[in-house]
Parts: sequence; structure tokens; C-alpha cells
Amino acid sequence: MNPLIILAVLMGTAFTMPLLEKVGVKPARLFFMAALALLFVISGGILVNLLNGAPDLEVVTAGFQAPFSINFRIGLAEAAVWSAAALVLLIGGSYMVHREEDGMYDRMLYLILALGVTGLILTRDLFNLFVFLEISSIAVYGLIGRGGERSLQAGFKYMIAGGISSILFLIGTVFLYRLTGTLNIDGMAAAAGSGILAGTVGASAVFILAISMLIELKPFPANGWALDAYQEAPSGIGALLSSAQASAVFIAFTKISPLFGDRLAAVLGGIGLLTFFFANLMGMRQKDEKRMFGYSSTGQIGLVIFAWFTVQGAGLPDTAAWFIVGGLLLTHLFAKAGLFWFSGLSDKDKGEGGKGFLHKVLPSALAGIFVISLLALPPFPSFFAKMELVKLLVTGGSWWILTVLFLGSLFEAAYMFAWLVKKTKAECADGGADTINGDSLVVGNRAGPDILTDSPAVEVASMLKSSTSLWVAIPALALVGLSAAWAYMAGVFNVIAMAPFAAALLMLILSFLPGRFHGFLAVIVSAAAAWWIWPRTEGIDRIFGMVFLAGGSLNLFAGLYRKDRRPGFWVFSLMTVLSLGALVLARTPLEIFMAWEVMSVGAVLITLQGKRAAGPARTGMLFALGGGYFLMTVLMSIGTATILSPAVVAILVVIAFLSKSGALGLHVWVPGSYAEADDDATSLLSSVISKAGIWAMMIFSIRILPGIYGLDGPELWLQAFNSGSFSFLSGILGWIGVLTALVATIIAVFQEDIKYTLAWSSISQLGYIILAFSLFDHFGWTTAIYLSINHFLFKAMLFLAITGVIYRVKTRLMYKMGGLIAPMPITFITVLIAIIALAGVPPLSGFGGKWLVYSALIQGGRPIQAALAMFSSGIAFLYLFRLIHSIFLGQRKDDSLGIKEAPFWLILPQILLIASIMLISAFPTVILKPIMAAVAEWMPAAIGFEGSTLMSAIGYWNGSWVMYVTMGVFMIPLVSLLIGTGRKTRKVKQFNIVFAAERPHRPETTHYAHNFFAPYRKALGSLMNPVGRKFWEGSAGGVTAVSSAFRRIYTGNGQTYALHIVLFTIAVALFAGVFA
Amino acid sequence: MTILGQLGAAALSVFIFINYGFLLAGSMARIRARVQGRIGQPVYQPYIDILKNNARRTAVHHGVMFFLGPVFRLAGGLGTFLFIPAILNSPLFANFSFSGDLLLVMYFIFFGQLGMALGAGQSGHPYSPIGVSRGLAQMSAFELPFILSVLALAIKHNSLSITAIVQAQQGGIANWTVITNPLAVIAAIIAFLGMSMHNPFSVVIAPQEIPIGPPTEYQSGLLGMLQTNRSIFNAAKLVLYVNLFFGGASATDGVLYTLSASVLHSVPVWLGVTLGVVTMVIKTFLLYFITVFVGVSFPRFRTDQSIRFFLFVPTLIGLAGLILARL
Repeated sequence: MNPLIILAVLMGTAFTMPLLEKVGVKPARLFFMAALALLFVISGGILVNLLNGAPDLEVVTAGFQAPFSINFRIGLAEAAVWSAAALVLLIGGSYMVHREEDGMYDRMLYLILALGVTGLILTRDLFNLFVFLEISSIAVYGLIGRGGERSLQAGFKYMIAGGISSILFLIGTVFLYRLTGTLNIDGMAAAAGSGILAGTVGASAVFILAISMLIELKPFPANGWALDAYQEAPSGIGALLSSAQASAVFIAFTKISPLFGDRLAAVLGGIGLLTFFFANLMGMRQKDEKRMFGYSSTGQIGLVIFAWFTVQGAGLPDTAAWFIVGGLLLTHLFAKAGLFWFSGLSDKDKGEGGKGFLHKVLPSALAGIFVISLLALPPFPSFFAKMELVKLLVTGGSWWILTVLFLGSLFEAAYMFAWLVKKTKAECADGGADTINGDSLVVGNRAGPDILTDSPAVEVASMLKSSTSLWVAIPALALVGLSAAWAYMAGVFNVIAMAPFAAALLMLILSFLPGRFHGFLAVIVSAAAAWWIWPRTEGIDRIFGMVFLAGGSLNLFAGLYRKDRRPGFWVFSLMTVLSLGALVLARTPLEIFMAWEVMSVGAVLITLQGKRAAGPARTGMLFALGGGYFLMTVLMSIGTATILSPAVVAILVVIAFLSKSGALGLHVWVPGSYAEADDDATSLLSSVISKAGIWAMMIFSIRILPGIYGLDGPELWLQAFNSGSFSFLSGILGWIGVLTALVATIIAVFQEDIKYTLAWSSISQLGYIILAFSLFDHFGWTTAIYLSINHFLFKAMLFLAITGVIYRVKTRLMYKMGGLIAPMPITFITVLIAIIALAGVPPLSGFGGKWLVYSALIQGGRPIQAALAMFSSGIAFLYLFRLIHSIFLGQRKDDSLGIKEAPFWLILPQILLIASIMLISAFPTVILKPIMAAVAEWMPAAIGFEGSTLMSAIGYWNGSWVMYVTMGVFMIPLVSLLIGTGRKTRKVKQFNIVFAAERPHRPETTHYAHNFFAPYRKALGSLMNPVGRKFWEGSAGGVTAVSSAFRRIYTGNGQTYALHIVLFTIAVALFAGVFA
Repeated sequence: MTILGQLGAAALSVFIFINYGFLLAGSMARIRARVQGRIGQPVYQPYIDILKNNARRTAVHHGVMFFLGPVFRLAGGLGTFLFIPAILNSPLFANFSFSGDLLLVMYFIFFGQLGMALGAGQSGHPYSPIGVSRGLAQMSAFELPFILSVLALAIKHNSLSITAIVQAQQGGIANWTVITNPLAVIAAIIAFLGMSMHNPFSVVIAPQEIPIGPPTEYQSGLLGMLQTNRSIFNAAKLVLYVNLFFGGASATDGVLYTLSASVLHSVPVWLGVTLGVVTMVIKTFLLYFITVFVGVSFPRFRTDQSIRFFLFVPTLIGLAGLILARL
């Protein structure tokens, strides 16, 4: 069908609207929607044709060929953006109608806007472009102004800016017409190619045209008017302004960009990047939701402009160019439209006094999809686009540009994710009642309302009632579809890479089913993945793969102890566990990075499910993303001509992975995240997911980084880090590891909250693993892997046991517990075994870890690090004893008199873990031999077994014999005691102690637990100074202060904005060398 | 040696050193009394105590862990001793040292302490955790100088095997660690003062304000077990120190051996072993005397003071010792 028809239809419907209105509102609305639907059908049909390989569609008017008449051209890019815009317009129309915000004039203006957008995308004639620009602008002024007095002001400011832009556009067009003799854009481009525009006049004309279009794209700092418009326009209009209209103007802009010289193009690209950076910087301090989206919108369009000129500068072919630009643009288009609509929906919801529209599963999922896609995370098109963009920048060695890009992205992530968190989590009010299985759960004296108490049926009904929200699902579905397309184009559309997303989607679709069903599904899927992965991996991959997947399944099984729905927990846990599997199987840099990002963001989203986890999750997200940027830089430099020095690459990689593992300085997100995540989720995070960084550091060292430098194998690379030119770096890494271990241990000693104790303990244990890894030899890596497995075992035991305890006693504060050995004996045994293993006391497997790490360090010539590691492992006894004593021993409190042992779901995994730890304690060869063999593939073996004795160059250890001797010496006194006096004794009641002939008054005053290590605090408390946290808080404070300072330029005064535009134009002219 | 033979040998060496531990405790108590101007208990008083305690009926307990506490404690003491080779070149006194090296011994020390602390914890008496809190805090501090001196040894001899370290010190006093690396030995001895919990580091068991700390609630047979442990555990630590720093005792070398060799043409094995045990007894007695000497001469530190003390001067000395070993 000739696309010209749709122009006629839109205009005709718009002009007949007053007439139809006389007939009735319903027919008017029907025609209105029908016109929009037709627009979508036609544009979609053309897109499908083009995708099927049809040639670009040329449409001529008035019976003449171009350049003698106006012509339209529809290529794949135009068709894609057009149909996307049409879809958004269609949903937007429906949104308006459903909210009954559609007066007759609104509908007319809306159709005119659709007309303008269509024309902007299709036309190839410069003057015609101007006409459509004006048409769409006029519609926009009107639509913005319809919202009330402030909206009217905003619309007026928009008009001032648009007016300036129009004047400039016309002047530019006039000059260009004079110089080239044509208004056809292609004709002009051809003329420009022949040098006609090379002179000052030509350059000025091009510049004026460019700047006029640029102003329409809201560049920093000449965009105050646009922000006011976003803020004051009704949310439905904001959605269109940000998505359809902005995209259309951008497409128009790309058409004239062939006229620009190199210098102008570079300047414009730079403005795009700066807009991205500053818009996001200022967005961070924004409280008003719509204005915040406005900042994000201007930022995203800035990014698209920057991407456009970058790909043009790099001379990429069209497909590759649009892979990047289109990926960013379409993601922005759908996501931002969806977000603006959401903003409107939740406004309305608030008005009705509800809990907030987004606090339900499906809406949360939709909002999540919009935000996550805007943050350029997998699997969305923006992710692949940004990867390629970064690759271009890395290839060009544009480090400063890359830094600005990453900072801008990080700023955007900070406020967009914060918005998501705020919207999807119910605010926790002090004193509220919370329920799990009908029990009141009060944690740390504070409680929040359970956000998921609504039944699924109620939720679906409420969504159906406001059917607009179902419309909002369409852009999300579009994003999902586009993700598949982009993944396919990027060559990662395979089962392994897509499994985490598929699983998440499936769980989401099934979210109406009961909670335990999800749990069982998650356990089965992840166990099946473990089963599947075993034969497909070997060596280090297999060992870690089992920790990830088998360990993940075990943890997921424990999660079944809760009967409530927990949709977020199951979706994200399964997604994260599967992404760990995908990580182990990934081979290409893109696959690795994708799996890594999913895993690391998934972990943050798991954390977010905790009641008070909003703050920690936000911090965690920033560290996850920041680490990801470092990793992306390195991965994208593979196979490029860029020469990053090996040391720089190693440092970038290490920063990326250490931020995941929580090494000192990069640890600030860990304690809060671990403490505030759901209790069983913490086990997954600490025991399983935290190992990903260790696996990745090893795999990068042996498989990926050597490849960057064209080395056939890793031997030279490893050698360089072991004792060669980079051994100083490994030494520093070792120091980071040992200081992490030491400082985190000391801090753990002083925690009253059990989860914080264990969180700091996790950090310190990871410190030992990093320390062992830093040796870069067979001994060190064997140790690192052994420690990883061990840490998985005992930390899962501890966290699961503690989950049961918290579940029963409803507090996390240790001094409020006491004497729980009586009601919870199995949990006590778990904790006992786990702390013996953690402390490294023989005969349990933990000692193997201690023996390995110290022997490896001494043999590796690092005695001081060995000494500090031993010192900190001695301090670990303090918090371990405190933990087990304060919870299980001492005096039992009245509150805990009626409690029972932890639920079966928690106990069973603990028993399995106890069995595993006993097995590898008695027979260390079971795991040490495979580990040593796996590591020996990459480096010469430094330790070996003689029989069952493990021999190093300086010492020996026979785990089995240690076990036998210990059992022997344990049995002798035990048996003698049992045979002798033991049988006759009886257990006395509580408080029956030698207490100066008195009976203690209360358990609270007798249970010595609060501030347990007071003298230690007196002696070493100064080490608790939170230097790391202060540093990051200071950095964040600095950034927000700068953000506030910049925001002051937007005064809200239309004259000031006009002045901004003029000054901006002059400044750009100077930079672009127009006057030269 | 067969397993049975090994068990028999272990039993013999445990028996000898437990008795030595009792006598040592008795004699040191008497010495301490004399310093303070008292007559003091008889040297065999520990035997009386043990017999008395074990003879009494243990009437009450506070739960399973309370019961297991002394078992852990004694097992810890026995195990620690059994993982140390007591006399060099004597299979009879080699114990189970083939199970692991010095690191094993250092970590096995915690086995009994941890179990005991847990058992005491279940008693529900506040004095027990107070004592444990003090003890653990002090322990973590004196570990550092001890670790540094052990590392100095390991570097010097390039081994963590106790046997190898003793072997390297044979052939005269000039080879002893105390001569080759006096700084490391000073650090270790100061740490030893902390381990022994005599003044000035006795706040852990502080008899006045927290009557004897962790074992407050223990009585009768359970207390007897703790006392038995004290003697074997003391002996184990002393033997370890003598092995590491003072040349150990050998069944085929040493001053006594050389003397007898000059008298007799060939020293029979049993005599060599006996002389080794005698050497060990003399050396450990002298070593232990140091702690008693310091103990009667100084008042007591508070816990935070002792932590700061251990982490400052002895640690610096230990570091210097480590540097000396690397030179």
C-alpha cells in the first residue's frame, strides 16, 4: 500500500474529528483509534516486507521523480523506527482514551503529531522536512499545554525554543538551496560531495541547519525548556515526546548528517556525549519522577547522537551502524514510553489511596524490563549496541571518551535503579506487622509490610480493570522481541546463553502459581543444569560449575522453607544460577560478558528481595555495573588493534572481579547486601555466587588474557605474574587479599547482628582465596580452589543454619538469643561443624585450607603475608565463638521457650553439607586430587600425594591420619567418662549455677553476650574506622554536589532558556570552526 | 612399626609426659610459694587433686556440650602432644608426627580450647564466657609474635617439619635456634608467657573476680579431666618449644649422650632414649622456669593492655627475627 495514504488518513481523521465529536464521543474515539491502528499496520507491513528482503521503498509525489518533487524513502532503519513509533502512538492513544484525557482537541493534535512523526521519518526533502517538523512541533506545543497552567508555561517555553530552531532551519535551508540548487537531501549530499559547500557560506549554512535540528534534539545545556516540558506535560504526552517524536527528529537528523564536515560531525558527537553525561549527572538529584525521566531521555538521545557520529566516523557499514544506533534508539523508544506511562499510572493509583500500583508482580516485572533495558544490560538491544560502541571506542583508543560514557551510564543507573527500587518495594514503615506463614516476623525491631500478600488472582483482576496497564506490557514485549533479534544478530542466540532469560520469563509467566511450585521448578531446573553441565566441562570449569549449579540447587532447595510466593526470589535466583552455568560454558568474549552481567545484576536483584535491602541493592548495582564496565573494556579490546599494556589489562580485570568478590576497598556493598538480603538468599550469594569472581580471575588468566597478546598458551603469561615482570602486581593482589582477610575479620568480631558477622566473615574468607590465587602457581591455585569449595560448604551451612534460627527466634541480634542448643540441636551441630571447619581446626577440612595457604605462601616467599593471614585466622576464633555461644549456649531467653527445630527444608541441605565436609575431611584426596590435576594442566605441579600424605617442598599433611588420631584421642576420655561418672549425673535446670549462693535474676542479665569483646574493642577498635565506606560516600557526595550545582542553570525562565540556546549556538559555532 | 606397636609407644610416651607434667606443676607451685615466703604444697599435690576429683561423683551437668567440653579439652591436649615428635631419632617417642607438620600442631592446639570454651558456655555461667572472651582476645594477640618466630624458623630451615627443624639444630649449642636467631626466640618466649597464662597475663582465669574463668561450673571427674589435660598440654607446649628453639632432645646426640659415649664404647638404644628423655626434662624444666620467674615478678595486665603489648614490642621483635632469618 502506498504510505502516502496514511498521511491523508491521519490528516483527514484529524480534521473530521470536530464533526465526529458531534455524532458522539464513542465514534470519534473509534475513528481516532482506527487511524492510529492503520498507521501501525501500514508501517508494520512495510517493515515486514523489508525484513523479507524487499528493496528500499521509494515513494514519489505529484507524478515526478526526485529531485523534481518531494520523495519519501523507506529503508529498514526508517521502517523500524516508524513502526516502533507507530506502535507507541497507538498505545499512547489508547492510554489517553482509557484515562479519558482525550478532549476533541487532544485527539486532533495527537493525530497531527502522528502525521508529523511519520513525515519526519519518511521525507527526503529538506523543506518538506521543515513542514513536518513544524507540524509535529505545533502538535506538541498544544499537547503539552493542555495539562494546566504550568503545562501551558512549559508548552510556551517549548514554543520559544522551537521557534528559534525553525528560524535557523529556514535560514540554513535557504542558503543551501541557493548553493546546491536543490531541496532534495540526497541531491544536496551529492553536491556537498563535489565540494560546493566547502566555503564559509556553505559551512555556515550547514552549521545553521545542523544546529537547528540539534536544538530539537535537546542538547545540554540548551535543553532547559525540554526538561520543563517533560516535567509538566501529562505523562502520556511525555511518553510520546520522549520516544516517538524524539526518535523521528533523530531520524531526520541522520538524513542531513551526510552534509556535515568531519569537524562539525566530531563536535556534534561530542555534544551528544556531553549531553549524555550531564543530563545523567543532573538526573541524580532529581526527585520529580517525570523530570527525572526527562533527564534520562535527553541523555539517551545524546547517547544516540554520539553513537551515530561515532559509527559514521568509524565508517561502519549500514547494518553494523544501525545495529548500534538502532539498538540504542529502539530500546530508548520503548522503554521510555513505558516508563512515562507507568509514571502516569502510579500517579493515578496514588490518588486512589492504594499501596502503589507497582508493588505487584507483573507491573514490577514490566518496570524492571524498562529500567534494565535502559541501563544497557543483557539481553536487551541496548546491551549489544553498547558493547559494539565500546568496541569502536576501544579500537580507537578513546579512553577519555570511554570514561565519560561509563560515568554517564553509571549516573543514569544510579537514579533509574533507585527509581525502580522505590517503585517496586513497599516502603517499610516502623511498627508495621509482617507475616511469613502467618507468624509475625519482627526483625531488628523494625518490620515492613509484606509486599506480596495480594493473591495472584486479585492482581490479574486489578490489571485487567485498568486495562491500560496491559497496554503497557506491549512495549515490554516489543523489547523482549527486539532482544531476541539483537541476540540473534550478535550470534549469541543459543540455548546456553539464553537459558537464564528463558527461565526468568517462564517463571514470570507462571507467577500465578503457588510459591513452592516455583521453588520446586527452580530446584529441578538448576539440578538438571548441573547434571547437564558435568559431562560438558572439565578441569577448573567442572569444579566451579558444580559449586555453582549443584551448590545453587542445594541453596534453592533450602528456599522452600518459606510458603509464601516470593516470585522475585525464585525468578532471579534461578536466572542467576543458570547464568553461572552459562558463564562456565561461555567461550566467546560476548557470551562471557553477557553471562557475567546477568549473574552480577541477578545477584543484586536477589538482594533486592530483602525487606530492607533497598539501599544495599542500590550500592551493589553500582559496583556490579562499574565492575562490568572495566570488564567490557578488556573484553572488547580482544582482537582489536589497540595495545593496552598487559599490566593495565590485568588491573582492569582484577578490579572488575574483585568488586564482585568484595575485596577491601571494593567491599562496601557486600555487608549490607548480605545482611539485608533474604536469609536463605544470603547463603546463595555468599556461598555460591561470590565464587564467580575467583573462577573468572583464573579463567581470564589462563584462557582469555593470553589470547589478547597472541600467546598460544598461558604459560608465559602465568610465568610473568608468578615470578616475571608482573610479579609485583601479584604481590599487590596478595596484599589486597591478606588485608581484606584481616580487616574484615576484625570488623566481624564487633558485630551484634549475626548476618553482619557472617557477611564480614565472607569478605575475609574471600580475602584468603584472593591471597592464594595471587601466587600464580600450582600450589596457590590448588589452595584457592580448595578454599573456594570449603568456603562454599561451611558458609552455606552457617547461613542456612542461621536462616532457621532467625526464622524461629525472629531476631538477628545475637545477644537477644541464647541457649538454643536445646530446641535446635541439629542446627547447633551444623554450626559447630561449620565453625570448626571455618576456623581451620583439625581434623576438619578447614585445616587443609590453612595448611595449604600458609605452606603455599611460605614456599612462595611471602612470609609476612603468611603471618598476617595466620594472625587474622586466629582472630576469626573470636567471632566464631561469639556466634555459637551467643546463639546456642548460655542462658535461654523466655521468648524462645516454645520454639522448635528449623524446618525440614533447611535441615536436609545442612545434613548433606555436614556429610560432605566430613567426607572431604577424612579423605582430602577426594577433592584435592581432581583440583591438583585441573591446575596442573596449566602450570608445573608443586605439590603431590605420597600415599595419602600431601607433600609440599617444606611440609606434609595427612588428613586421614589426623582424623584417625583425633577420633582416637577423643574416644578415650569420652568412653572413660561414660563408663565412669557420666551415667549417674543428671541435668540441672536453668539458673542452677554457682552464683554466690544466689539465683540469677533474669537470663538477659546472665547471658554474657552484648559487646562480647569489649577489651578487644578498646585495644583495636580504632581499626574499625570505615575508610572504604567514607571514601565512596565522599565520592558520591561530591558527585551529587556537582550535580546540584549544574542543575541551577535551569532557572525555569523561558528567556534564560532562549539565551542558553543562542549562547550554545555561538559556542558550537566556535568549536566547529564555522567562523574560521 | 605396626599399628599396635605405634599405639603402645604412644601410650608410653603419653604416660611419661603426663607424669612429668604433674610433677612439673607441683614443683613449680612449690617454687612459687617459696618466692612468696610460704612453704607451699607438696610436689605430689597434683596427684592428690586428680585422685580426689576423679573419686568424687559427678552429680550434675548442664547438657551434652557441657559434658563434652572436658573431653574436647583432654583430646586436644593428647592430640597436640601426639602430633609432636618428643625425642629425635627415637621411634618410640616419634608419636604420630607423620600426620602433619608444625602447622598441624599449631592449629590442633585450638581443638581443645574451642571445645572447652563451648562446654563452659553451655553451663550458662556468665564467668565462663567472660573468661573465654578474655582468653580468646589475648590468644589472638600473642599468636602474632609466635607466628612470626615460627615463620622465621621455617624460612631458615626451609621446612615446617618439626623433625627436620630439630635435626637441623643437632651438633652443638651453636646450632640451636636460640643462638642462630635469638630475636625469633625472644618473641616466641614472650608469646609463651601469654600461652601459659601466668602473670602478667593471668587475667583470663582471674581467680579473684571471675573464679578461674571458663571452668567455673566444672567439678569432680570433669574437673579432673581438665587437670589431666593441663599437665599433658603443658608438657606438649614445652616439648614443642624445646624442639623448635632449644635443640630438642635426641636419642643419638646431645651432651649426655656424648658423655655416656665417652664412658661406654657403644650406647645401647634404651639408654640413648632415656638420655633423650632426661635431656628433654631438663630443658623443659628450665624453659618453664622462665614463665614462673616472670609470673612471680610482675603484676597483672588488663586484657586490652596485654593485647596492645603483644601486638607491639614482641611483634616488632618477631618481625626483626623474620628479617634476620631471611638475611
